[in-house]
Amino acid sequence: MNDTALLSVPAADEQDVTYYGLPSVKPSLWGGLVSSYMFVAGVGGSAQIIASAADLVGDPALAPIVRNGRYIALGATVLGGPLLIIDLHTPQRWYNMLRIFRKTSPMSIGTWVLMSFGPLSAALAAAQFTADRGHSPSRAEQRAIKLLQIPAALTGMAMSTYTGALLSATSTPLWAAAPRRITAAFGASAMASGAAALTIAGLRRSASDNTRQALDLIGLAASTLELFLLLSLWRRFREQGVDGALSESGWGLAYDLGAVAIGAGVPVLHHVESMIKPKQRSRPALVIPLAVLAGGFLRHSTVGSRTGPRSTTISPRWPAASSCCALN
Amino acid sequence: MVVQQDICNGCGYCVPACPFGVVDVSLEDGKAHKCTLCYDRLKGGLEPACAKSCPTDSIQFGELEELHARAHRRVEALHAKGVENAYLYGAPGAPGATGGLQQLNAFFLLTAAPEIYNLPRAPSRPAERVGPSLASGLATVAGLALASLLFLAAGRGDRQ
Repeated sequence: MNDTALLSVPAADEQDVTYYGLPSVKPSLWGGLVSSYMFVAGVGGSAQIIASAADLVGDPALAPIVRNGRYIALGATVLGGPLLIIDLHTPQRWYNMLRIFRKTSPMSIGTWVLMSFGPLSAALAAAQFTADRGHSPSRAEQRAIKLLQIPAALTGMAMSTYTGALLSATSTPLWAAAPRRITAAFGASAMASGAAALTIAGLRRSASDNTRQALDLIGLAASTLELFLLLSLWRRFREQGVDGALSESGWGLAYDLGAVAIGAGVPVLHHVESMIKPKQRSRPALVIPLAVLAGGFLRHSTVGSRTGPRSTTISPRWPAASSCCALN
Repeated sequence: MVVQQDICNGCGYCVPACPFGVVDVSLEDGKAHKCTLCYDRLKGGLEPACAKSCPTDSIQFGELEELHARAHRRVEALHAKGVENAYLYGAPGAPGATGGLQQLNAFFLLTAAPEIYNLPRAPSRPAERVGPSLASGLATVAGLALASLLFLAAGRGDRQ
């Protein structure tokens, strides 16, 4: 940023000078469909990553994780694609997304990530389905499936994170305030949600204690990192003076309570507690993974949905110490 | 920049992405719209209608370099007349051309704070954030994927 150029701009005389109260940037038109997609994409992408890790370890006891991960990934694609298409204002033209690839647009990047992740997940789920129906794959087929699992994991990583880049590459102050932290937090949140979804899916098929413990540890690592990143993101929002956009939108409490406390805080406390007292399972097994998923969903709804009018009038990009910052 | 009306599917990403709040989606036809600089007139060798009809010639259309030179001369003339707060917004190296924006193809001669004209004080190019954002997210998830691999492999001996 060219500071000398900025200082030569006349300072606004009064606080909150605007053009007749109009914000200088426009709020996003997205609502619940897009924020739901972001959540679903994260769960599916991360479930596929964990399934790939389990497949790579190659332990037959981990087969339920591989199976459930592949099915969850397919489910996320089948649900996620239509969510995005319905949100378009001219949905019948959705395929125009496939005309080009543009590396400066996370929307275009994401289109191709989904277009790669979807078919890969569908192929792996189909292979899983035939195996579940008693078909034993030939050696070549086994090798092909193992090989497919790698690009599926890589595109799963992109699915879990690109939505953060999608938000930060806008001019919406709240979203643009912390490009690195917001996407890291999205990624950690996705991994926590993916592990939670796999834990829930594994409950039906009496997974071994070791399998569940591994998922617990993945969840603990992801939730701890997520909690740290969310607090750091929060601090960044305050530093940049954009935290008001969250509280003003009426979603402040949902974010504080839901996204941070329930989604990350409670699971971390629970994990720590169960490590200290491993034999005492005070809560039903479903509660914690459900809290993680609910928190993840709320976080995307609050950060990802359209925020209040101040989300566009507050301007975070100004150097805080400079005399020009009338809008802060 | 022109929105291709026969291609646009109304995804709406351009709306919050625009640092100047210019683009919007029409809920009537489901497409994004912005000023086309009278694309049809340009094709016919005419200047945009706003520049043509402006009674004080405040809106001028032409080659950017030529316009820059003209605008700098105008600022100097204004300064000489005592209008010391005149400045360019969006010319190369001037306010408005910040945050990865080299210059704006529509630039302005202003005499007050940019906000008064509904222009952002320090706009930035949103695409500048794509790389850092994606990289930090992917690094985070890759780290957690590696941790997952270790946690899943750790129980291996116990299960066999």
